[in-house]
Amino acid sequence: MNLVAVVPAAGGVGATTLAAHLAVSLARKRRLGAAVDLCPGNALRLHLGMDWQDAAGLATQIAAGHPWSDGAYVSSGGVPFLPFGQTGREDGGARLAAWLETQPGGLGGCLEQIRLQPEGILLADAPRMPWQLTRQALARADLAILVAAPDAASYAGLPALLEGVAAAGCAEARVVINGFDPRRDLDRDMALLLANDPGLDLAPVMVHRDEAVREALACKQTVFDYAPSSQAAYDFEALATWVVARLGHRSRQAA
Amino acid sequence: MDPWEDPAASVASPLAETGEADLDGAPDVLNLLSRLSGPSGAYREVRRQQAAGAVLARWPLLREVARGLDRTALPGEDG
Repeated sequence: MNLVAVVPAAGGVGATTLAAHLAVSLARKRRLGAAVDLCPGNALRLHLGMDWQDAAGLATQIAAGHPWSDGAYVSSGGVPFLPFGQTGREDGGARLAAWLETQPGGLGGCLEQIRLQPEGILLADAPRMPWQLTRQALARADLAILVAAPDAASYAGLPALLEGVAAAGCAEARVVINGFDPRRDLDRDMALLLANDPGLDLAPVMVHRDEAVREALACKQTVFDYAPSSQAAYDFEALATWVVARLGHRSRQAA
Repeated sequence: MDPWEDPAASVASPLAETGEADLDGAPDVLNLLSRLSGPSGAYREVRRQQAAGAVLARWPLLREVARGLDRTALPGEDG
């Protein structure tokens, strides 16, 4: 089983948006097992067409004592996913983390039960460190995608995130720049700085800033449906292709 | 000599000096390619480091973080 954890370097970098589109693209390639939202913000579901008023999800089911798997959905695009749920409690994430630790196989074991494709990749949209849920996801992850915007906030947040990744024992972590605009000086400078930093590995794919991404969410669609010819659609597709290739390469190395 | 001012010189000189090239017969293509990639790779690395240093000189917060990460070896960082 391959688990990919998507973790933001700072707030508002678009990690959930990236996770949602990666999930959809992997599903279109028939390579997605399932996606799970570990962020109490519960926003992954909105990218996947779930009704805003629907409060169901993993944390909600657990809090209510119901079977957790009843909180799983399949989007109209064929993406099996577990939303976080709207618990209305501040400690929803901590309770979920504590519950997962009692389950056989932890987070990975739970995801294993809901995936549709037998060899499909499991994708976790994780909150910022130092959340317990993120540590659990990173500890199980074969690949961590550290999402950074091309700005100073992300650069300042990366050291702590990289420490967390190393402490969790994550197999591999790659930084993906999200929202890159080549017309902006700081974006170009940040891309150059990250590419030359010997302490981190930059993924060979970056996602460009594209208004189609925001508009797609407002229309309850992904960019693949809303603007299939957009730069962002191309970038997300390229990212998914790279993830599949990277995990395949790691599997062959391990064999 | 700067290999980027005269790329041909950067290739010809080391091959001739080391005697690795078969100047009378067919060239050792793999060796030639590796020689070609040597100077240009080193040059690009220096250029990258210089560019990263210029970035840090331009943005104070990035410079602070880089210092915290002990990335102070980048040329131009303290400019």
